[in-house]
Amino acid sequence: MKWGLTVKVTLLSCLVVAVLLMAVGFALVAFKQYKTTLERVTGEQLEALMTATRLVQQTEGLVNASAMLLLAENHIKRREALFEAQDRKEWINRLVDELQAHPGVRIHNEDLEPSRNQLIANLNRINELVRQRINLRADVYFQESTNRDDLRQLERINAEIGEMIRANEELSKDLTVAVSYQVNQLRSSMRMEVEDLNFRILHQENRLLITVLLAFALVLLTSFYIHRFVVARVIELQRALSQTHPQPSDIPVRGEDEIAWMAQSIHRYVGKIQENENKILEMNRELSFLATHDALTQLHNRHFFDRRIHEITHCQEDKSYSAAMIDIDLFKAVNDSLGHAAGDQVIKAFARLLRGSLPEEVLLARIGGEEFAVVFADQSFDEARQYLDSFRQKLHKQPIHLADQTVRITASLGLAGYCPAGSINACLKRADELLYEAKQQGRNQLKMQRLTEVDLC
Amino acid sequence: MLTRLVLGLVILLLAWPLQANRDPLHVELHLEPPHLDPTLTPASTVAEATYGNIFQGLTRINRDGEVEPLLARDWILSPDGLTYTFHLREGVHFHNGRLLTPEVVVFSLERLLDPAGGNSQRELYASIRKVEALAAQRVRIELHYPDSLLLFRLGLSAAVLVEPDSAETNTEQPVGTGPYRVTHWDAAKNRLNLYAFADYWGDKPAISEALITFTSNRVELEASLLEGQIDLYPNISPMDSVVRLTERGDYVINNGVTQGETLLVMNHAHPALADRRVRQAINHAIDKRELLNIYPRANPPLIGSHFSPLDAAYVDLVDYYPYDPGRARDLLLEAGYAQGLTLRFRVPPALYAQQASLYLADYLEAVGINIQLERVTWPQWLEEVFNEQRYDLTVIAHVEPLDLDIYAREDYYFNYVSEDFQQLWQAITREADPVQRQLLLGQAQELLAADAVHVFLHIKPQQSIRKKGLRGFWINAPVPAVMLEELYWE
Repeated sequence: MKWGLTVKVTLLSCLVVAVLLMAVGFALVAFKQYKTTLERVTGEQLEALMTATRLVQQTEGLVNASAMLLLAENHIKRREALFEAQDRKEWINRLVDELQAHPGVRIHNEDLEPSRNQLIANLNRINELVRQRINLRADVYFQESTNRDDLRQLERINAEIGEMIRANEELSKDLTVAVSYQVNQLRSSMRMEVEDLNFRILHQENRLLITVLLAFALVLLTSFYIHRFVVARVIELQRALSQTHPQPSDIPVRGEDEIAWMAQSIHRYVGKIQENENKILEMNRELSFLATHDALTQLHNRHFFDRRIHEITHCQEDKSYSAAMIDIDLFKAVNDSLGHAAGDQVIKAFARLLRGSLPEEVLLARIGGEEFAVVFADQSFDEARQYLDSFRQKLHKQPIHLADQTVRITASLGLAGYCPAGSINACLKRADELLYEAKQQGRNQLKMQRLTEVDLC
Repeated sequence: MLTRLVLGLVILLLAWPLQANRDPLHVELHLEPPHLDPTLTPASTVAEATYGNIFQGLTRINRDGEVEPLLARDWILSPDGLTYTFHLREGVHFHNGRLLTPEVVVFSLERLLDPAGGNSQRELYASIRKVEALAAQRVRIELHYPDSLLLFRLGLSAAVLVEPDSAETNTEQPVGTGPYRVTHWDAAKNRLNLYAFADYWGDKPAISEALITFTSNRVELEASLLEGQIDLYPNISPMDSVVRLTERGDYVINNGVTQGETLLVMNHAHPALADRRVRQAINHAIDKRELLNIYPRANPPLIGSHFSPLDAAYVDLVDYYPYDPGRARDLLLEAGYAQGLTLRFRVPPALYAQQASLYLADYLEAVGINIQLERVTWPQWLEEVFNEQRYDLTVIAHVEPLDLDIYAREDYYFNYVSEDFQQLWQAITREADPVQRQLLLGQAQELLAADAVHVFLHIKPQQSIRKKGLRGFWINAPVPAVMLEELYWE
């Protein structure tokens, strides 16, 4: 199975999302831990701490109550203090129960209970003593005769109350110490729990940070991937296609994905276009050749020759030209005796020889059946004469081999030379006349004339 | 623009949980309730917690003590005054989903009237002869005799409407038609959690969640107030710390009045207390004016009989038995109790009762009566004092308005039996003429004073304490109620 871009990008995106989800997960876990701990600390620990604190307060308050009881000068105050002590005692009992119900607290009830019970028993005893004292005082102060026994009893009661108060203070201290220890334990436990939470949250924070960095790296990776494997390739493709003549070799086709598949299609398409264009160019070249060349000899034709002459006439180049006209001698006889096909072969051979005899840059054209024209531009008149004469002699000496026979032909040539570009037509005309003269004077010869300005006028 | 919108949304999202997370309103009601069915107990603390919050009646009493339609939209009284036709509100749901129908009203009122039903206020509704369900949400109540107080009494907590499926379990899981339903009731810790009822027929209350606690222990209650845990405590009156709390700034104190008469109740079943001279002696022994010192910041009116000074028929009998310890001793001597009369004075945990009992015991001891002062829990008081009548003296406020009839009830915990009073009460209930009725009510007050049935001390003050910013609270308490529906935070 080939994995396309969609699958790859989706996979990368999924990876990014998964990492982000992981980050969110870490954050949620941290929040949950925080929440749970906070709930436990506020809901249970703090409540227990408050309960313990209240317990300490109330235990101390119980001693205050016994002091209030001690100070009571009448039964209203005595009972008020007693009520308060009873309320505190009742609440203390419930506070102890509540505290014991808390999982983190270990109060040894067997240690506390005797103290508490003794405290209460003492309070009740103090209440009774104070009650007696109030009554006795009333007797002592309001009765006419002071009873010595009453006074002694009052002294005894006062002493006993003092004892009780001191005992109660001791008991209360015992209770306070026991409960304060628990308060301290609870406080430590709360602190530890908070520290532990802080540590765990720090840990989660680090994990969260790493995850976020990872997510960021993944996002960068995804961008890089998309740029490298999607955008860059599309741009490369676009650049390749933007060229005037895009070449199949410029189209990047590597890879196994949608872009590669598209590039391959474009590559094929561009190849086809290229092929078709080449064909058209070839046909153009052929057409152009056919338009300017003679089909038989592959030399330029008359049409081309006339155009060149026209161009030369108008180009105003500061050159001197020589023009020659060449005609195969007695060609009609060749045609008549050997047939047109052989005649054509003769003309082809003639043309090959002529072309081979003249420099490459010389303008050479077949302008009639067996008539050829030559224009020299860069050669001197003498050079032109030498080329042409050399050709005439080669032709004369060298037979032309046809399929089953050998033919000897000659040619007459007329050369007129050294005229400026604007007079090329006059020059040609003079060459033609000279050719005629050569024919007249026995053929197989070169007639020439160095033209003067007078000749050209 | 977009940025602003997003910013606004973020702020809204951040602010929203803070808005939504206000703690439940914490109401403290002091006396622990025996259960949560106001139709089965005379304990006003149950009414305070449930009346108008969980349960509702055909009518209701508003903060000014006036009758208003509630579950009955309106009613027609026949010209002879003997037939009421109530037109019920449509679409009223109980908290268990049951609809309020005429049949439910008939069930509820018949349960109220059933002698075996256990409603302690049943005798207030003695005029009702028959209750009948009619078509088109209508209920007809036929009376034995015209009863001008019926509409008022149908608005009391004893007459709230309950439905057959839940009536038996209302003591633990109350189901009413009120704006709040019970989400949790911890009977051991006396904590009642209420939450706004989604299908409530009326407007959604401003306070959606409430916690009602009942802290009998004075020291604990005081600590809770000092710690700022309590948002509203409707009856703080005799607490020393009131003065300190008012200076703190976070609490506001309101002085209101109730219709509740504070009484030193005497059990007439006790041989000595059956003697009117002893009761008169006790009346003379007590300095009612000095006793008001138990309220550090309130000055409630004194009374001389079982009647509210706010009522038009009130007769001033405050000084019927002036404070006179000498006269008290004489009367005791006359009755043969100069020495050795010992009375068991059982005191409920209500703050006023606790505080008053200290002084009352002292007054009585000052004239030679031995007092066994005994504090009892509220359920213990309801059971042993109110129901089983195991007491000689107790101090309590009767907060039900216009409840003079309790002196005509047989087997009421006073054990006061007076044919004269019973006849007078019969006459009062049947008297249609307001002027004549007022006269008879005056006679009844005088009869109770003359008989020295109890020591009629003073009207119970309604000194409430609430957090600054909590509004809508009833300053006065014409009936025992804490209307959560009307409360809101400023």
